[in-house]
Amino acid sequence: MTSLQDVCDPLTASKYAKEENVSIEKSRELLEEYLQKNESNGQLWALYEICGVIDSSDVPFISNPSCEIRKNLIVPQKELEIAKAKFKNVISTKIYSIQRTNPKETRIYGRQWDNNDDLANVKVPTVITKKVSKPEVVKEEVKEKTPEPKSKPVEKKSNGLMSMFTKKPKEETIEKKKTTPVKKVEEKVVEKSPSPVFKKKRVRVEIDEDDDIFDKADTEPKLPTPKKEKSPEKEKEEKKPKRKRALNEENVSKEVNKTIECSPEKSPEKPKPKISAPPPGQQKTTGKKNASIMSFFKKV
Amino acid sequence: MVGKENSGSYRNLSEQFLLTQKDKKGAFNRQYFELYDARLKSLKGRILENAENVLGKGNFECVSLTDVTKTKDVLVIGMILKKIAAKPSILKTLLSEDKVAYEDYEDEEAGDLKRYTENAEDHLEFECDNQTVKLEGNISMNDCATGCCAGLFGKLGDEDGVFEVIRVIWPKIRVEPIDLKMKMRKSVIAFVSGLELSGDLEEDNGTISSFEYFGEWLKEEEEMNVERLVVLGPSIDNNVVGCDVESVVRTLTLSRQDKQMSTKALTMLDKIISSLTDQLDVDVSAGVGDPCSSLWPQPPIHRVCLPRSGMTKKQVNLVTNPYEFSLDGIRFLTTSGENIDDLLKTCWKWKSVDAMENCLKWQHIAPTCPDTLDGFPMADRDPLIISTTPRFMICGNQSNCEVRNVALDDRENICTCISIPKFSKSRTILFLNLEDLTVSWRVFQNDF
Repeated sequence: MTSLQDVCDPLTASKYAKEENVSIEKSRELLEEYLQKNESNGQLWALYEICGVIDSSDVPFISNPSCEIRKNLIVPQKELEIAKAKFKNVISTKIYSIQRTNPKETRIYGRQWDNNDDLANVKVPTVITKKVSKPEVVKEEVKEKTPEPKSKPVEKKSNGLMSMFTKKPKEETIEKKKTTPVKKVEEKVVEKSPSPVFKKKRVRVEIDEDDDIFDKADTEPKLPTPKKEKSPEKEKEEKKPKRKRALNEENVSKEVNKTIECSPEKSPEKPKPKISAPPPGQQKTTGKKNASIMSFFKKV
Repeated sequence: MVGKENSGSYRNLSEQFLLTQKDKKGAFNRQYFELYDARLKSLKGRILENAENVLGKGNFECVSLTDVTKTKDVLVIGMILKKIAAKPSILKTLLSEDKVAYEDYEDEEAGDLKRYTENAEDHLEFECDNQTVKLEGNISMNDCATGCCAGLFGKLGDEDGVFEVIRVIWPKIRVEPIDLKMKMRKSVIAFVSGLELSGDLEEDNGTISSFEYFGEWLKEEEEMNVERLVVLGPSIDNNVVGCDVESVVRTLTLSRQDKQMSTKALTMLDKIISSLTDQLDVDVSAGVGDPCSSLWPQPPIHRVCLPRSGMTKKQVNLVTNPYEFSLDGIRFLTTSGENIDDLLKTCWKWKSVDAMENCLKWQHIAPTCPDTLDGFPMADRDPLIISTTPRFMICGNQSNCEVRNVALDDRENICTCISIPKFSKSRTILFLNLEDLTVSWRVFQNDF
């Protein structure tokens, strides 16, 4: 009976049967025995369940007097006999629960209905987890090495300074960072071509081609090549565009604004992208919704 | 909920209560006369069919109200209007400039259903082909309600604008015969209505404890194999989602961490339902006050409101109000009770089962919809028409537990009308045995 000695909260027979892995009848016997032994201490209260037939006149909601109504009632032990007398016919009387506090002062039921968030550790449905896992998988691919580019990473750092100015060092840097084994990425890394910073910015723009943000006329035939020059950071940024880009009032993406922010006039460390408004007196850009960066800079 | 199956030969027959895209299109600009028009067109054929049985084929002539004379008895088909002087009217309120709304709101806390006081000016009218006449003769105020479609056999009275009724012809009752060869399983369906959770644990202590006790009793019960529970709304207390000034002010001044009480009540309901779904199938029907549209027919509560219930073994069906289903070939029709309450207001003599019996006679679940019971403006159909009379008609949130077997037209079939009281007040649950189709009541109570 040590488990019952440790019990503080109200313990029902069904709950005790589950915990002790016994039948409900056995748990009732155990509770009865414990109650009889410790009843004299005065620190133990018991609730009993009475099941029986009641007179329809005792129930205000019953209009048909010939209808038999059964009632399941839970009463404290002290009021057991009084409650039984109210029944027309008592079918069964069983111990329901025991507790160490006065039932009138303690809430037996409703504990599990408290404001505790029981969904905190519950697994979400698989549909939602799949959506969440996609970017993680992509990130892992970026970090992992690829076994396929065996032909490419032959060149090592041993070239020294010359390797700094060739395409291959970027591969080395990629290898260091353990890039993903995606073929397309590797091909892009191999086919590097020196490009100024401006072209790299174009890479971001190209990704938005599907969204028709930029005019098709502004697309440059060189676009596929800059992709190969992408650094792992840019690869991550490229993957970011899968998310919907927020557009400011001028219908220019935030990332474009960032490129503007990187100019020496503005501080690049600002966490929030500012809405780039033209200086007073200057006409606003009259570009269309699908205006490209080229059109933006042209007007400036 | 997805991928789980209901036990037994269960079929959900509530498709007619679901709003279609066609119903919703243009609903904001639609008037209710289209609904009445559709109701009349749907029931006209059945009225004529019944008239042939009652009056005899070829013994009557169906005409328009404009062609009725004082000399010849004819049959006219239209809609009955019950004109009650005490019925609240916004026009009267505006004309009198009395703050009746506030006074009525205070009186609503009494809990009893308010019935309109009888007046000598109360009378019946009949509308047909855009004409209205007053009814007299073999028809009384206790026989009908506003919105009932009927055929009246009679002629014009001596007074102008009066139609003398000789006989009232109601729509023919359609019954689906029960397959006697189908073996009835030893299973029991439980019905409970009006949980009315407020979100406050102290106030809901009695309801929750009794319901929790019922759940534990289910696990131990061996005599009855309860395999399905139907929960009729409203499961959320109407006062919690009230539109009174106090509720609105509280909603507007909620702090970031505070929650509206109705959200707590919804969480509580979700926990209650999910605690039972391990043992049996649960159907949760909405009521006025639950988180869904209050226009009849009410759509199901959205499943995002009960996330825990979707993670359990058995099936949780979020169903419409009214809710129609069949189990082992037996047809059930359940409502949350607002339709019956609205009918009871118009007549002092009716009990809940009287109103339900009249609904079977009129072949309409809620004829006062949309006049005094909020209804959706349907375009070309009336979903509340009883197309097939059920074997059991159950209405929740009534004042008493009543059972009545109503003999249908052909006297071979019966429909059992049952009214269930609110669980929040009575702690009473209805059990229906599918094997012998008997009804029993059980009270679950805590007295400590």
